[in-house]
Amino acid sequence: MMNQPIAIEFKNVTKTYNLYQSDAKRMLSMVFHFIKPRKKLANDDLSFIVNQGEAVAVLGRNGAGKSTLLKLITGVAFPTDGEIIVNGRVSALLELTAGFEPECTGRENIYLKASLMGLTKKQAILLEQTIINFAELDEYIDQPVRTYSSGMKARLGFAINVNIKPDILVIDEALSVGDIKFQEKCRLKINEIKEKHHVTVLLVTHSLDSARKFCERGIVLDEGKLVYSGPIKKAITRYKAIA
Amino acid sequence: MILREHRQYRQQLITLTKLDLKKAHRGSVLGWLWAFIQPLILLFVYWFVLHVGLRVETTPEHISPLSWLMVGLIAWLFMADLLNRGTSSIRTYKYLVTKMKFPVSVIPTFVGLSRLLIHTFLLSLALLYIGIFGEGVHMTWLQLPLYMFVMFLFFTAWSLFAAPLAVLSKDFENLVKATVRILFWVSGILWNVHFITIQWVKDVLMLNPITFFAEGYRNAVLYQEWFWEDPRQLAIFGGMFALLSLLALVTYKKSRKELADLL
Repeated sequence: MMNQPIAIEFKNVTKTYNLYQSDAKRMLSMVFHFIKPRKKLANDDLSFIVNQGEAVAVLGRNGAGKSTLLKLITGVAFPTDGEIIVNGRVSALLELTAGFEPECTGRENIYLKASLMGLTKKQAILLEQTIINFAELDEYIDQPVRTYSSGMKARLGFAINVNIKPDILVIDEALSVGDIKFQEKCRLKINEIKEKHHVTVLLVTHSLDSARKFCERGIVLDEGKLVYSGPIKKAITRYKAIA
Repeated sequence: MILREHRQYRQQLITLTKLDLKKAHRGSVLGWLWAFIQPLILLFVYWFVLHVGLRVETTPEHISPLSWLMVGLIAWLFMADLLNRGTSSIRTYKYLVTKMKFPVSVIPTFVGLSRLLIHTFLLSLALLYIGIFGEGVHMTWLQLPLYMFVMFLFFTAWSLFAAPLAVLSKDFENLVKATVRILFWVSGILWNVHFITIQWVKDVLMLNPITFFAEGYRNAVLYQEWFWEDPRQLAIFGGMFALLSLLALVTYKKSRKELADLL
């Protein structure tokens, strides 16, 4: 464990959201500095390391700061304070969806997403069929994504994200979609890319069962603070104590 | 920083430009033709109102009112498009901000590029018409690409300034959209600024960048004038461009890290 390369490192990371009573006040505060927001501390002085190839579950009650943590890792949100080091390409499923263009078909979205992740057209062509098969979308693949059900979107999102060869895979609650068979397929796929390609996995979930199955380590958050980081079994016990 | 982001994401910039084009013209049977039909209908309606209905004089004798209107209107449609779409660009593509790591500054650029392509297409058609049936081809046409490029830069700078503000406040977005409608009537698209006899009114009107571009296009295509022939005008525009770019940089820098939290 000691000399394994680091995938993610948080150094005293704090994230506060500025909450204003209205959009107008937010606008005015840019000019008038006496208009002060209410501060909401979402992540409070977090420091931890995730090694390459590790699977880590992030546990915590609602509002503990789990989603914020994932957004920071993905690079979507920026920390208010502290430093974040992320090595490698992050592929993320945030809040269940992968960020699709609703007007485009599923197939076009595969190419769009691949291009946005920095894959070449050639690489995308190679992956196309694998992704479609994995997502179990069949003939719907050529329909616009806006007509998809939330389950279909999540399946496509998941299929794209695990197949475009990320270095770090970030999954936010997305495993709770699909039937048992699909969930099992996801589990196998994640295990496969973990074993074969040494992908680092971060998983936010309320299902302790999947946390136990997937992850060797757990991070427990409570009200934005890190309260535990260690073996998954102990993390679950700790989480149960505060939940 | 903005330039670096653009260089790093140039591949994605092309993909997204194509996407933006495709999105604007899908879901209808005529699809791409609409990019051409809509301006044509507008042109006909305005021409009819001005010259058949109101019978106003818009051009000196040797220039056909239709060519004059066509050139100004095409320039205007591009500017209006960028003002409207540019301002709401980040909102439209919010999944690029909230769902993946993507530099926000690139969003106004690809929205602008996709409009620039449509504009190039329309302008080529207009030039074809004027070259064959109208006032003929002139050397001064050579400055058109420069005008187009500067126009693109100017309104992309505007988008970079306005789009983050539109995320902060819906009011701002509505305000811009309402203003665009007013700008159309005060910018001398349908009437000739040079026919105004009160000098100071004319001076104030020429401060308007939209008038600057519409007149610049007309100068290049129809009047055979070069852009350096009015240095004062050029200097005023240059100053405004610099100011806008500065405003854009400041707003972008200030709001960049907050945008994802707000969308």
